[in-house]
Formats: sequence, structure tokens, C-alpha cells
Amino acid sequence: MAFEIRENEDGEIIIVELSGELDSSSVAAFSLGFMEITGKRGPKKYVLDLKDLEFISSAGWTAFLNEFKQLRSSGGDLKLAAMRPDAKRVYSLVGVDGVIESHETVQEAVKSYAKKD
Amino acid sequence: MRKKTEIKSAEIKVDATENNLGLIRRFIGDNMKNTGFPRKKISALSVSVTEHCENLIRHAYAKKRGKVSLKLELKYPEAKITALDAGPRFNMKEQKLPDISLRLKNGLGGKMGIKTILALCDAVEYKRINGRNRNTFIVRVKNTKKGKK
Repeated sequence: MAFEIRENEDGEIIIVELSGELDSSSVAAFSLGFMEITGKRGPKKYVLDLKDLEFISSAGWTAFLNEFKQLRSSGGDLKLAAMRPDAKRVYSLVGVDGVIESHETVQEAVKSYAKKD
Repeated sequence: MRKKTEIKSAEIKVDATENNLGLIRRFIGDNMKNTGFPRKKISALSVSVTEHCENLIRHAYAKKRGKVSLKLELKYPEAKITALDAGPRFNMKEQKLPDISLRLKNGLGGKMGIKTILALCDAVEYKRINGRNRNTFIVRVKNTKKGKK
């Protein structure tokens, strides 16, 4: 399934929905799409909605880490939400869980931002 | 559903290119469908072979494009995929895996592929044969009956 990236918002939080498969063939589409969104919205609080992301390889995790680092360094933030079980297993296994926060649902991720404020 | 005792094999040979990664996953998914293997094991092979092929594209075939042959063999409770490539000798099991936690914290990836493969597969075998690398990725369904593993 082809990779797609779409944006939504929940108040001050920008929800970015990813669907399809994210590997080295589609990682440029993610980075360009995300750059376009952050360029327009600025360094705000973002949630990546991974509910429809069917596959992710280390190329995708690396791209998430890059975006996370860039947002954090400019005052923004990034959290992951609704990850599928297969992705969640690799997320913990490679150690991304120690860097980027993840939540079971988008709503929980959005709420977690409110708790911090 | 196929009988779990049946032996099934399938082969594919493609250019090791990013555009073929989806095709390779479809080959694994389609051939393992309804064979009794749980989704977790199918996913383990799918992720491992994708990571392996991404490494081939990025490193072994960085200067000159090449092909990768994949042979899937299912003999329940074991499933294995043997990948053949013509890149330079490379045994991932001989690589010293660095602690990547600091890299991750600095927003850097890299070195994740091999770690993922070795963690997801129950076994990985390597041989250099006739100038080609032969990597075999193996997953096994464990017997969950009491007293057996």
C-alpha cells in the first residue's frame, strides 16, 4: 500500500496521520511531507497517528528520530500514537521507546500534552 | 487453511532496489497466508528481510546495482527465508553491535537493522558460497503445550 501523509489538528496540537508502508522507498515522502507541515505550522506539538501505518522499517524510525530532534531543538515536540503491535515490538526492541513517547490512542497523546502544560 | 504438516516453498529473484521492497514483503505475506504461522512470526520475517535488503541497497550494492534471490521454505513449525546476494562478503553476526542509545537520543538512526534482525529471528545463518552471501532467516513457532517450549 502506498505511503500517505495527512495533517489534522486538535486545538493547539497538530495530528499527522500516516498510512501505508514506511521504508527506504517512502521515507523521502514522509520527510518532505512532514517538513511541509512543520514549515507551515511551526515548531508546535505534534502527534504522529500510526493507526493506518502497516509497516515501518529502521529507515522510518530514523526519520521519526530526526524530526523529533529538530522539533525539540526549536521548542516543539513529537509523540507517537496508535502504533500497531508489530511496529510497537520493534519500537521497544531498538530503543526508540527511550526517546520518543508513545500512546495507545491519539486522544491519549493529546491529553498527555495537556498534563505537561 | 493448509495443513501444518505440508511443506511449501517459493522463490523470487528481483533487483535489490527500494522500489522492490514492497514486492518482497508481498511475496512473504502472500506465501505465508493461511499456513498456520502466527502474524508475529510472519511480521518478524517480513521486517528482517526488508532490513536485510535495505542494507544490501545502501551498502553492498551502493556502487553497482545487483539482484537478490529469496527462497521461502515453510515446514511447520519452522519458516525460513534464504537470501542470496552478490555483494562483498558480509556476515552480520560478526559485526560488533554498538550501544546505539546515545545515537538515538541525538536523533540519529543507523545500526538498527542488524539489531532488529537478530532480535526478531529465532536464528540467522550465514555462508559465503561461490562468491555470494547466503543469509538464512529462521523463525519457529514454539510449542505452547505445558512442559514443552
